[in-house]
Amino acid sequence: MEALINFWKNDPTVGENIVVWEKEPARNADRVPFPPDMDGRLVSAIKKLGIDGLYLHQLRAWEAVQAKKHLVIATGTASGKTLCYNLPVLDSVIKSGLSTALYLFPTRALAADQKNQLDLLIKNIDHTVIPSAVYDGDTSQSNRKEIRQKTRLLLSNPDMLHIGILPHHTRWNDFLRNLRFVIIDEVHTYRGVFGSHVANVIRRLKRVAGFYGSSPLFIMTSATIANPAEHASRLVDEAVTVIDQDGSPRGTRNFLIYNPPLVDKKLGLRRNAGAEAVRLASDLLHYRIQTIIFGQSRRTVEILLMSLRTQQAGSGRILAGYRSGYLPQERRQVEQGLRSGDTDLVVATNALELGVDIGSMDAVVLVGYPGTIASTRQQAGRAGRRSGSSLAILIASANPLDQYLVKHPNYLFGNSPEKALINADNLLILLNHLKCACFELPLMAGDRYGSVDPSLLEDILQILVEEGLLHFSGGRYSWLADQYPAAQVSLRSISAAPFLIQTYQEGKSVTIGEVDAESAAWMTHPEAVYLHAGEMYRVLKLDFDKGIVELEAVNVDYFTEAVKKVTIQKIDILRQESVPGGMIFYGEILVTSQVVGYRMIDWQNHQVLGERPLEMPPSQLQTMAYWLALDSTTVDRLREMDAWRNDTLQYGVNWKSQRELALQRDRYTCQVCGAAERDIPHHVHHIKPFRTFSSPIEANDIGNLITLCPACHHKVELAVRMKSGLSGLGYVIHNLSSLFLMCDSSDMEYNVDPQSSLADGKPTVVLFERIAGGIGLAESLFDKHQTLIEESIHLVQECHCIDGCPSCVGPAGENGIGGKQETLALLSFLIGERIADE
Amino acid sequence: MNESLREKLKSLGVQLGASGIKPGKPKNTGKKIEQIIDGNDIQTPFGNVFVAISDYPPSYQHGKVRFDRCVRLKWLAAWGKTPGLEQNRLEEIVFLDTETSGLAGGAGTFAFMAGVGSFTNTGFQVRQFFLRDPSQELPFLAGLLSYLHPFKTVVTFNGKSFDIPLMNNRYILSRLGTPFDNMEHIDLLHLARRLWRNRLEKRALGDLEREILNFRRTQEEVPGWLVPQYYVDYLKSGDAQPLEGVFYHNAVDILSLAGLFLFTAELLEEPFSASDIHSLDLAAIAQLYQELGDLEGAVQLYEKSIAQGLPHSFFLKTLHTYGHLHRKRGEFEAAIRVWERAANEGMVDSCIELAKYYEHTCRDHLTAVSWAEKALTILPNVESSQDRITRDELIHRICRLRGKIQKQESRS
Repeated sequence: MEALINFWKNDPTVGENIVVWEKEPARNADRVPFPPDMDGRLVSAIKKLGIDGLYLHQLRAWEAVQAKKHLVIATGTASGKTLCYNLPVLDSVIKSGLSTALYLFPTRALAADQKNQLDLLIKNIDHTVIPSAVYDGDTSQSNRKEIRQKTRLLLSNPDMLHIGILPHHTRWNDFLRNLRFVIIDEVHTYRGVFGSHVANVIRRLKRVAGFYGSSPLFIMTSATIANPAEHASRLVDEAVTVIDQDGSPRGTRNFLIYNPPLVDKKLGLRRNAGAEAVRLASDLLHYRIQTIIFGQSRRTVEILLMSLRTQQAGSGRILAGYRSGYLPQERRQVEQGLRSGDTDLVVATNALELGVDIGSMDAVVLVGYPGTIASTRQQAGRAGRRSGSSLAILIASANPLDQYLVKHPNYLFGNSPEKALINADNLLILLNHLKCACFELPLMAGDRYGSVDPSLLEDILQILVEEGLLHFSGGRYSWLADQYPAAQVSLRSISAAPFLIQTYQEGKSVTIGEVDAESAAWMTHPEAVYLHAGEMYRVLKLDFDKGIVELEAVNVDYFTEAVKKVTIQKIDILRQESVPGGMIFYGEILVTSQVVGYRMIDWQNHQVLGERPLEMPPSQLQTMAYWLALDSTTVDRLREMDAWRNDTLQYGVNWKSQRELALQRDRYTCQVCGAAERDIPHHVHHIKPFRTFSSPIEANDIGNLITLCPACHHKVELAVRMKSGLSGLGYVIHNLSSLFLMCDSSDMEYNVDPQSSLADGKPTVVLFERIAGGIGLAESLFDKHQTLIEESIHLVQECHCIDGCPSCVGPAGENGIGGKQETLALLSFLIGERIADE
Repeated sequence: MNESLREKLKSLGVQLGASGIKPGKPKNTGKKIEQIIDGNDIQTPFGNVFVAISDYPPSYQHGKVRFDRCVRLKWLAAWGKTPGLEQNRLEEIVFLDTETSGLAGGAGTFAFMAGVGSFTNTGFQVRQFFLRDPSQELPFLAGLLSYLHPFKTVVTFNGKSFDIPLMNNRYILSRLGTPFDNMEHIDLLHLARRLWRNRLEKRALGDLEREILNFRRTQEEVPGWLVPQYYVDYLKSGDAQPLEGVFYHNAVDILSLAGLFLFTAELLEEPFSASDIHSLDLAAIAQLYQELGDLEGAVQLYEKSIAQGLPHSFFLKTLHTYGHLHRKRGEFEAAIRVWERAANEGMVDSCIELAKYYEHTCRDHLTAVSWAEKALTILPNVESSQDRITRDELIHRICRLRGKIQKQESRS
């Protein structure tokens, strides 16, 4: 490792591009002896695994449990969090013989992995048999009865708890009567709408456990988020202690930000981040440094894998890919390969972020910024052995967000990661879970349900009575309907089952992977070039009814990119109101996305070789939205505003000739108004801004150029500018909305349109709910409009950035002017007074 | 406050019925349960529970079953693997049938009526515990618990998967402890399947009541699938009139259960002398006897059933199974006779058994191969995957036999 670091430092082609080098010094383990109250048999068992003491944070966890405090352990990855909960649990089971514990994991893979770890520990405990079992949708019917009756340690997930265990809790009465612990792993994944559902499942669990006389202790773990104690506390409705001082040993950790070198200084164009990753990877492999490369999309992972395989052919190095869509057994194999050290390098999506134990890597490469500080820390955290140096490199892409980080690395280091937020009292979610709760145990008048306001609770119960689901008498709400309410509630909003991806091998169809229904249309459309584990295929057929994608192996020199069209249509306006600067609306919309064609793009030079149309079924989302439209007065006044600085950018060596070609193709006619060129020459405009490409050739591709007369060009650029302001506005409102609504940023999506059909062609910002039908988030935004605008102004004004940054309006726009000014201008109209930009 | 909450929920897409339908406070126009059903309140430590009691004289006849029969329970106990039953006096047996709020299962389903029947020294008594209101479940369960205490065996129809687990749930939820852990359990659904699977297509209690017991219900009857709805309506409206049919339905269920119990007990004890037993039933009982170890009895029953005449496909199957019985008892000649009869009538499996016997026991390969070839000709042309496997095995067998024959010939 040291050798590689030196090599890079001294290599001019690498060393110069490293813009940031943060070193976290090595730290020794904060080791402490085993606590005296830990059962001797357990201590011996741990010692047999080669562990002869605890880390400080593991001791703190132990002490908190002995003091009967609920806790969340928020130390980093691979810090030995598992022992923090397994030790107190096993100790209790050994001592009492009757204690039981429930473990909840967000995925089945994690549960399976944890079972193995648990078994390892239990095996070494002398003279004790502790039955443990995984209980989830895959558990066979014949095993279920025995597990219910015998097991002490139950490993499951929130979905199974919700639909399989709680509604049949009488079958678990022995288990629940002795329930001492509930372990919730990776609580940061329970955020937004999903987290709100899980919080209610926990409320129901506590109710049912209480019925059997149990009041279990919650032990939780979390990745790095800004608010672990607050979030865990909301999730389980209890005061929670946080343990975040990591006592495990660390070698020196190096964090690098690498900016691909300029290929053209004047134009500011850089080399492709993926290509740089491949180049750095070859060095890492040469020095035999076990590495994970994180690509930020499935496609990136495949392309990187293919390039690496070509580069490393014959070198004897073992490479593998890892992403959703691979079969579970393949993923297990890769995990095993990493653990054992047999695999030298894995290219993965964030599917490898979640805690499955793969040991620690020497190096991690992030190709592009993952989008949140929390994800960055999770991915980078995969590197870091107990001793010796480790390396995490973030390679910046041409994306403005990445380039912002290059210029302002403190954003990454100085800021705390994002917050996890939930709202367990969301009306719709609450209603559904109350039904389940009443099914499980009747509610008595005056009973509390979590921390829900008692009069709201009573009102909801009353409505359920009126609907015939409950019967109220003798102070008791009894479930009356012949229904199984848990079956009507899904904790996760994933609709359909995944599509199977198949090829023919020796005359039979073999499933090689899967793709989720949503992605199938654009990832595996007919004639798409599909990459799987570095192998190239073409899609022969996409069968929506059967959910099957048929592939044939091919070897071509291009890849495909789907062309998606997204339209938003208004269905119904339920509420509208005049506000300064325009109008706000709340109503129902239809978001249609459809793949209308695909482009074939050359591997090597990224040129568009051709485009073909496709007939694919649209996917539709009918949901609730809040939108804000500017009125014409505002638009006029914005138009009058000055300061359209136009950089005289140069557009590369082939610009002149391409420009000529475009003018000729368009016959010197404006493509918008049809005006022919007369005295003043027409302009040629880049449809997708120049800066977003990584080479002038791509940017100047004739398909990206359009001839416009000066007036229309001005309009178009105004539209761009308007869009820039609108985008900034949308970005900041979207940012704030998660905070106001206590949801996750992925629960809402925003869209801007300078000429929106939602508001008769006016410039509009719309925020819509990702869950079909909505759950009340959009309407809350409508109600909070005034506050939203006020807070937006505060946020943008107080932000120290000059032109815009990820924390306020998004990173600077194409011309370098930035959306900040535009956004502030818009905001000033929306608040009805002039505001200064500090 | 409530109205705006309703509106809010509707705007979130929740389907709600028309507001303004107030929950039914029992109207005074509806009849109370006491006015409809002849019953009393019985005291329990937790309050009162409404119980209706009907007594039937010893001469009561339910369909074609007389309730004054004396039955031995040896065979029933053997089949049910409930050894205690054989020694039970009839009075120690309780017949149970519940009416519930629905079929969804889980902690949210409850029983609102528990009908229990038992033989007394004055005949047969049906006792129906009724849940006036879900909030009074404790006295309901307590009353039932105390009444069930002295019984040793409980008889149900589908109770193993439905009634007993449901009642156990309610007892756990009420923290009263269940009465059923100390009882043996006979679930006649499973016996009915054993006995009448071939003869009757549908074997719900109502079907058996009609086909086996020859009993017809009156117009009072409320079909089972409507029962939960009647109870829900009663709770909302306070009018107990419609429940009359539910009480009738439940009571007849109990009587039919008891009738079926007596009928099957006697059927299993005395299948030889009775003259009106259908041949398919005899065959089924024969198989049961065979499984329970009375091979001699099984042989007699098979003979009787064959003599009486069976529908063709069952005839072949029965013959074939009978052949196996003989083989088990070491009666090879009898087995051959039976199998030959079946084989000649077109039973493939019997041909195969004969081929096996002649090959391995007699070493008569010529006869063996002729039986195997005959089997091949009988196999249907329209092949199921099972037929295909059989065909392959037969071809294999024939090849092997021919090989052995050749070897023998070349030696001699």
